[in-house]
This record gives sequence, structure tokens and C-alpha cells, in this order.
Amino acid sequence: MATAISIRNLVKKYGDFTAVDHFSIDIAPGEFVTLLGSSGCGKTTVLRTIAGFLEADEGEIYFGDRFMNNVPPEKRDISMMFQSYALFPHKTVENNVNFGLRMHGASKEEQSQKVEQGLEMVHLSGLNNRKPQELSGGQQQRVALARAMAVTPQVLLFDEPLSNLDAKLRETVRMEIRAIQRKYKITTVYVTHDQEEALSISDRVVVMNSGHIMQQGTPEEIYKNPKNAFTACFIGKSNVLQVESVFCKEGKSFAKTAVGEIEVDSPDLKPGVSISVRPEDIVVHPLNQTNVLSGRVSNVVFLGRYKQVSVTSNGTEMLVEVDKDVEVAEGMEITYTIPVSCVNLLKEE
Amino acid sequence: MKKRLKTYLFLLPGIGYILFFLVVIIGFMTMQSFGFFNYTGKSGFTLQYWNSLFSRRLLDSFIFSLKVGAVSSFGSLIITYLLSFAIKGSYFQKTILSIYKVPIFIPALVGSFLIINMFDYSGIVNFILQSLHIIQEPIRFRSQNSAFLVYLVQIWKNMPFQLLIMYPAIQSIRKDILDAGRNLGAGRLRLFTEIIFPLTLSTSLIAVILVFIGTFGDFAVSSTAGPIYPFSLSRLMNYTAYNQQNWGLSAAIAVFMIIVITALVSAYSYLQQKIVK
Ligand SMILES: Nc1ncnc2c1ncn2[C@@H]1O[C@H](COP(=O)(O)OP(=O)(O)OP(=O)(O)O)[C@@H](O)[C@H]1O
Ligand SMILES: [Mg+2]
Repeated sequence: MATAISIRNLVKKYGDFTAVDHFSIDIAPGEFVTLLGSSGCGKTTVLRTIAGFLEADEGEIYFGDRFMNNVPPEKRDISMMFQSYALFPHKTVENNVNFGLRMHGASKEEQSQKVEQGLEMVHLSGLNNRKPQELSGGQQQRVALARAMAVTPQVLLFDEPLSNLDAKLRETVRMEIRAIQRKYKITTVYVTHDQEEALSISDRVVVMNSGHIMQQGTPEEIYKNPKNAFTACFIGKSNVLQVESVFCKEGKSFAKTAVGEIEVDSPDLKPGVSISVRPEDIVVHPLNQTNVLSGRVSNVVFLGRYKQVSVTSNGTEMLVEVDKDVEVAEGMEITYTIPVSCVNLLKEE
Repeated sequence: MKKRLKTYLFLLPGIGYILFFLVVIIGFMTMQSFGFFNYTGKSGFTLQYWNSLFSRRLLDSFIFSLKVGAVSSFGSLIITYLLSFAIKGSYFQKTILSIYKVPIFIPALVGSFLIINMFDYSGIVNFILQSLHIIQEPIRFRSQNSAFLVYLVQIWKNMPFQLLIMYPAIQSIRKDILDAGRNLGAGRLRLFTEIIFPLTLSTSLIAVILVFIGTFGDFAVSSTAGPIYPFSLSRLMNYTAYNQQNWGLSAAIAVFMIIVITALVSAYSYLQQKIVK
């Protein structure tokens, strides 16, 4: 597979401090890759090195087959949106946005057309003649976004482009970024703190911690199968349990953990490893339950957000609603509980 | 109202003093240029001095002083910009900056002599050029009518002063703004014309006007390193007063210089205001 960007063993130090440590990644043409990690883990440093503002201390950067380490930023055909916005303070919104177009010798018509499109995309139409200092923080951020996207480069770099926007605007602008990126097939590296954003927008998520890549994969892989405790706890929430010992019972393997014995369906289970369980996957039952009943499922009707299940106990049918994701099928033996507080006495005959 | 008056009264010892001397001196000089308070002959109104002001000689001096002012102020500005970039972020930044300040503390006249010495017919520059076989005969840098050495001394003397004003302004341009410019495809030249220059324009106007006023009215350097003809305006004024005893004409030259500088400073503040807008 051809690569658009290939980074091999990138090391970047500030004095004695290693901000990025043997970072390697291959990015396919048109791929949308998101760097996700806590503050100070080196995301901006990676972007700045790709853009050419920082020199790599070790390692190589290729765009396609082209060795890029010594190519100056203005010759890289990359457009970057800065975390600090970096708007030109003496230029109007319009002249900020059309700067890249002017530098590349675009015609006046193209410039004004792209400026209108860009400002519309970030919901700032009509503010063409304002100066950056006459805009709110979120508006400045959107101008920076429009400026970076006005040119159609080989590679787009975004450094937390939506951090200052309200939730609703964040979602719409996010979708527009993705639409444009798809339309022009622009290889994109995107940086964010926001995991929901990362999961929803990316082809691939790269989880970083103190200059290292912890895990990379599709959003689903990262979420469902975190490889290490850092990823498990950084993306969403996880309970991480150390496996003390392993035993088999009836052809199934069990892990002995601090909270108890847990069945694990993995060939790699062995003492010393850890397992993670997402809080939302745990089902709670009160101890010493009363009203524990059992029966056989006689019918299941899928109704969108829930399933309507008929359970037959001793020839009597009970109607039960369960969440759409609960796996029930006709013929299954199940138990169910009825909370005491929910049992209502009918007072009239 | 009363309070206002009180404030003005408090200010009087300071501002009054300055105003008094400004008005008296300029007024006196203006009167002199019209023939009053004549030291050497009969006093009385005359346009004779103002008429003889517009002579070939004075015009040449005026152009000479303008040229010295312009070349020195813009010349040192260009060097200041180049130097700022050269040393910005460099390891020797502090050392270079402190060494470059030295000419500020050397009197112009002394500096002038130092540089004349170097560029003399038998000076070190000619010696080096000759021993490197770049030239056969020594060059006469200080010839009959070349202001080359004046420019050199003035730039040498004023550049550090401009650097002192300009360097913080250039330094204060955020790196990410320059990065953004390069990222969007601006090479060095466009970066300068599109970003650095506009962002430092108002400071560079100050730097230029201050050096211009100083060099336009210069006496010491043009007297030592300058050509035989023309004189700078200040030198001509001095010559008219002391060598020709023509105090009326000398006063007319002085008033003329004040008018030129006032006009320039007004133009400057007008520009400054436009830029700020
Ligand atoms: N110019 C610098 N000099 C010294 N250290 C720096 C410099 N820039 C960044 N660092 C350090 O390098 C590390 C990585 O910085 P970087 O800006 O890449 O982090 P980040 O992942 O983008 O963080 P954030 O999410 O807060 O923007 C940080 O610990 C930071 O303190
Ligand atoms: Mg950052």
C-alpha cells in the first residue's frame, strides 16, 4: 500500500527532555488519523515536525518516497491549523483566510470565492473586514480553521481545531471538516484531547503517552480492545484487574482476580497479565434477591430501542422489555428479577 | 475650572520653562532672519536674508543634508532589519547586542576620526585591499564631493541606536505567526513584506525619524568626514555666522531647518495615526 506520510523512529528533544520518542507511523493517502493523548504528551511536537517548524533529532519523515527532513516548511504543501491560532494580527479576517491562496498565486475570483466558502463553513460569513482582535476566542479559532482549509494541500494538520467551540458548533464543524477532507481526499493528521471527537471523526486513532505511541487502530478497535491499561483508561473508563492465577473449568478458562473469579475468552490468558472491563458492560444485581424467577423465552419482538420478550414460566406468559443489545433468543432459559418496589397491588376486584 | 487652573500652575515651572525658551529662542531667531537684532550693522525689516537663502549654495547644502538624513536613517534601518534576523535566536545574541551598542557611547566626532583614519589614503582599508591585490592604487574615499564617509560614519553611529528601538519590536513577533506564514507558502521575502514589515512599521517610522532629525542637522561628522563642497546645512549656518559674520542669513538657515523638521515630524505623526487605525 502506498503511503502519503511515513514517519520512522522520530525523536525530538527539548534540551535534555525527550518530547517525542521513537515515533513511527505510516499514513495512507486520504487517511484521517487522529493523535489522542493527555496534555504535554507530544502531539503538537509531532505536528510541528511534520510541518517542518521543528527539526527531527533522529528519524526520517517521508511524503510518499520523498525524504522531507530538510525541506523548508513553505515547500511542503502542508496546511496547518495552529493550537494558538497564529492569526496575522494586522490583517482582516478576509486577508487572513486568503493568505495561502495569494502566496500560491490564485486569481482574485478564486480568492474571494474560497473566502466566502471558508467563512460559511465555519459560520462566520459577513465578518470579512474584522481584525482578529475584534473577534471572540471561538471566532478566532474558526478563522484559523478557515485559513488552513482555504488552500487544498496534500496534507492537512489540525491542532485541536474545535477546542474553543460550544458542543453544538463543534459537532457541525467537525462534520464539515470530515466532508471536505473526504471530498478532496486530503491526508489528515488531527490532534485532540476529546475522545468522542477522536472516535467519531477518524479512520484511525493513535493513542499517545509521554512521547510514545501506546496503541493505534480504528476507533472501534481502540475502544473495544485496548491493548494496555493506559489506552483502556484513557479512552472511556475501564476497571483494570491483575490476573493472579488461571484455571480451567468445564473447558472454559477463568482468571482469579482481586474481586473474584472471572471467565475470560482469550487464548493469551496467563498469570501476571491484566484484564479490563468497561463500567457500562457490568450488570448489577442486588444481593439476597427476592423475586428471582425463571422461564423459557417463547417470543422476541425487536422494537428499535428495545426488545419485547415473552417468557413462559410454568405455562404462564410474562411480558418483559429488555434493552436492544441484550442477547435473547427463543428457547433460551433465563432468570429475571422483579424489584419489590415495583410490584403493585390491585385494590379493586 | 479652578482645579484645571491649579493643574496648569503646577505644570508651569516645567512646561513654562520649556515653552519660554522655545518661543523666545525661535522668535528671536525668526526676528533676526528678518533683519532685526542685527549684531553687525543697522537693524530693520528686510527680506534680504530670506532672498539670499534660495541660492545655489544653500540648495546644494539642503539636498546634501536631506541625502545624509535619508541615506543614514534608511541605510541603518535596512542593516538593523538584516542584523535582527541574523542574531534572532542565535547563541551569541546577547554578546552581539552588547557589542553593537558601543558606538552609542562614542562621541560622533571621535567615531568620525576613527573611521576617517581607517579609510584614509594610507589607511588600513586601502592597505588591506592593496595587499590582497584587489586594487593597485589606493582609493580616495574622502574625495572632493563624495559623502560616502559621512554615510558610513552616520550609519555606524546610528545603527545600534535603531537596533535598540527595533530589536524588541521584531523580537515580539510571535514565532507561530511567522510559522503560519511559511506554512501557507510565504518565503523569506514575502514573510518580510507581508508580516514582519507591517508589524514593525510604526516602530521603524520612529527609528527613521529620530535618526533623520539627528543626521539632517549634523555638524560634527560632515565637518570632519564630509566633502569640501557642499557643506551640510548646520555647517553652512556655522560658516555663515562665524566666517562671514552674516548672522541674519545664518538665522534664516536655522529657521528654515526648523520648518523642514517640523514638517517632517507632522507628516510622520499623520502617518503614524493612519497606521494605528
Ligand atoms: N519549546 C519547548 N521547550 C521545552 N519544552 C517544550 C517546548 N515545547 C514543548 N515542550 C515540552 O514537550 C512536551 C510536549 O509538548 P507538546 O506541545 O507537543 O504537547 P501536546 O501533546 O501538544 O500538549 P497539549 O495537549 O497540552 O497541547 C511537553 O512536556 C512540553 O512541556
Ligand atoms: Mg498541543
